[in-house]
Amino acid sequence: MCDLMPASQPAEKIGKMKKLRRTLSESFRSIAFKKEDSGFDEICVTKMSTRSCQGTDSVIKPLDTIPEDKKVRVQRTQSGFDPFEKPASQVKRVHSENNACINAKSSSSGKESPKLRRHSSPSSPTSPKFGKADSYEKLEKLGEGSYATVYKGKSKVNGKLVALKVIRLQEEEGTPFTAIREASLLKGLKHANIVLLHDIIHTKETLTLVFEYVHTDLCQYMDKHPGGLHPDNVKLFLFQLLRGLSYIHQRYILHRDLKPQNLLISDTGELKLADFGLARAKSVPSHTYSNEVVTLWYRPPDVLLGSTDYSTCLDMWGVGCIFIEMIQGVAAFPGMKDIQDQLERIFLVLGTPSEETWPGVNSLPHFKPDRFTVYSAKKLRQAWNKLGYVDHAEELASRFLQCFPKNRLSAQAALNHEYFSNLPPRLWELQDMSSIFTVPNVKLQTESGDSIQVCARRNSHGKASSGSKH
Amino acid sequence: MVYCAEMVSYAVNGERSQSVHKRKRMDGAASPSVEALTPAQQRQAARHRKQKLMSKLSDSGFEEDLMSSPIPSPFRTDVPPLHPDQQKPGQLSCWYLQYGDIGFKIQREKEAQFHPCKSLVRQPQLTEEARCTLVSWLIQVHRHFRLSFECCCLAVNITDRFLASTPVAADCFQLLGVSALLLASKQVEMCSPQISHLLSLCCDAFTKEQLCNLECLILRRLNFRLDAPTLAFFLDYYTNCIEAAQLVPESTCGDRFQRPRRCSHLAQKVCELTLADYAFNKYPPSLTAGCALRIASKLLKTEQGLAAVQSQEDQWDSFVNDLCTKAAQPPDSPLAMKDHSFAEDQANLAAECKDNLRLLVSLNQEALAQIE
Repeated sequence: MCDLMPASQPAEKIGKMKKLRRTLSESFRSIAFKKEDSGFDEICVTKMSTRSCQGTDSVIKPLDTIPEDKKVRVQRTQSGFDPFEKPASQVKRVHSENNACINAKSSSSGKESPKLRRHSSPSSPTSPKFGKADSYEKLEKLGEGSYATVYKGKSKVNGKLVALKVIRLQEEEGTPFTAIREASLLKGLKHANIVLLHDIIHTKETLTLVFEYVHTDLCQYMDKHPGGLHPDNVKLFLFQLLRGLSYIHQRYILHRDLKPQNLLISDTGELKLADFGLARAKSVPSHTYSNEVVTLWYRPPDVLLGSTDYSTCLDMWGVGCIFIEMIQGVAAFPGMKDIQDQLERIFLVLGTPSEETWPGVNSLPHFKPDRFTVYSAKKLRQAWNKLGYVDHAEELASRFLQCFPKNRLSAQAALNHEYFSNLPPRLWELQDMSSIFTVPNVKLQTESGDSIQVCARRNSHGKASSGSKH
Repeated sequence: MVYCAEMVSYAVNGERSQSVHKRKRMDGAASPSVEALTPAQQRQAARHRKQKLMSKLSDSGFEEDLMSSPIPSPFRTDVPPLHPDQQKPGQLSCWYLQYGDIGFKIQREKEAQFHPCKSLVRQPQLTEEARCTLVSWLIQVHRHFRLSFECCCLAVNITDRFLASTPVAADCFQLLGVSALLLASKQVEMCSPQISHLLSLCCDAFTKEQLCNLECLILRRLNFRLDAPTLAFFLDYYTNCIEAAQLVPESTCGDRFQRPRRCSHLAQKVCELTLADYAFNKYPPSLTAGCALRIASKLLKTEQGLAAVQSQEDQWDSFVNDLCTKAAQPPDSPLAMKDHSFAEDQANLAAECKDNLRLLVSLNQEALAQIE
């Protein structure tokens, strides 16, 4: 098949290659999957020969040179990891039994004698702090999750409030993947509508993520103002949510866990996406994502039916649900029991899907036509009457709440929907890090206890033209 | 005992740069015991192993909910090992359709920050050969655990970036490899291999505590930046581009999409080879991926020969060619745009990368043929 061999290919090179391959396989055979019959008398990694410790020039030993004592399990006494750069004056010294493999130390001076940086005593293991844990004062507890506890905190440097997410590191499997993802993704995200990660404090026992402090979240906000939010505020919140989502989707990241609890709201009305523990950098489509990612109420029907082909459409369903919840004041699909119940609620409004309305639905793992009552699709405002009070709201909501994932509007496209057409044009020209409230005349309205009357009055023409239901 | 005097001596080994193609993946050579089995047996064995080795999904609930129903579990544990990223033919991803070009641009801009082109320069004990051995082994291990190609690329990237920051003793090199693989799987996979299983693949030469400590150290050295753009991303993006641009309608719809997928699959194998070869570290992943596709397209063309209509082939070829050029172009940074010679350098780099790939492929024909 491959006849690309250039004519100029020197024959000796190939010979060398073959030889190398042999050597490699010899030395590596033991490492591969032969553990069962091998026991301990295998060379796992080439031992640093003790001789090489004396000469400085002879240290380069390829992994495939098998030392004399090849049938003896490698006795690693000590070896070092020394940073090239010496950033801080902290010491990490970890000894495991009498066999220290990793010693890392950053010395304050890069020029000190190398010998001073050698650790020889395996005793007195220390567990020092790496970060600047002391620079934050821990205040009251804000909440507790499955793997982390969140505290309110205060920076001792500038007095600013922060949220400290303290993750315990006693895990069986090392650092929890949620912490790794949240930290690594948020490190790369700088946007006014994404919660800002200030700092990471890493100690032996805990990993603390230091976030900007945002005083409430959309869930609490809606609880405080029941019966639906002010329509102008809904528009501003939705705009910010879409702005944040568009930003992360462009970076191949899905949030995967959109719900009102994860949308933080500042006192000025800034909305910030938070809790990226389940998010992930998405690079390859049709990757097997886990099935359980979104809280049931905000979970799209394709995922409920067992699809694992997740894409940006996954988050957009949640946007639709949150949009309706903000307008109507109640959750869009508050399933009470199980997945079946959740799906029934969705199909009751949007109609039970068929191969015509949703190509491929029959091949989804959990879709069995006889399992679901056949409902016909209804107008959204029949289910949520307040959608009819605001121009274009129903149309936009229906673009999100599409059972067939590919029909859902993208966050980027949604920002240009007519629903937002009465907002100042400068909102579309903002830099990533600029809040929408930097634009003149954009500000949060006071929520009235009874927003229905307010918006009914204001949008009376809209109501009249859209016709009534119920 | 490793003295730090040696750690400082990294300047000595500057003369490793000889020829490019010394490395070879030892596909198939590493696990003779597995080779004796038929492919089907191997797959079965691998599947069996996997069920034992993968940690149970923590975020289920779905499974429980439907436990009583006769419907099989939706988890795709049964995909054939070599096609983890395969998509249904004829379906472009939503992601590509909605954000394709801007997403590509952003990843291109990010690329340079995550590109450890000279990871071994300051390593006193590690050589290109050692790196090749380790990466080849990691490729086997990632396949063993059925991790994605994305995960494999990321593990190699993490390893290289750590090497660029910290001298590593030869006897800890393998530990670094598994730690990087563990981190990569935590970042992008839905479940990671268990630590004890990773350690057993190292013949239990290391302890769990050592691995966890190194994991922390890597996170700190890399400043928690694990979201590197990878070969897998670019390969996938280009494949989507090619599928989207299938201008010539062919008589058989199936074949129409099969070809780019097949080509992309072969290109992935070529990319795997480049991971283990230190000489390819200097090319950004977007470039290597583009060139690999080009080579793969050529290989398939030769193989199929007269089977396909020539004009279509040529059209397809030129499209892949354009992609390569696209990959070689600098991202829209103002500095790069103005500099004319920069663009020229990039074109030369692309040509060089292509030549090197061709050589690498010719040296590894066996391994590639085996995969095909």
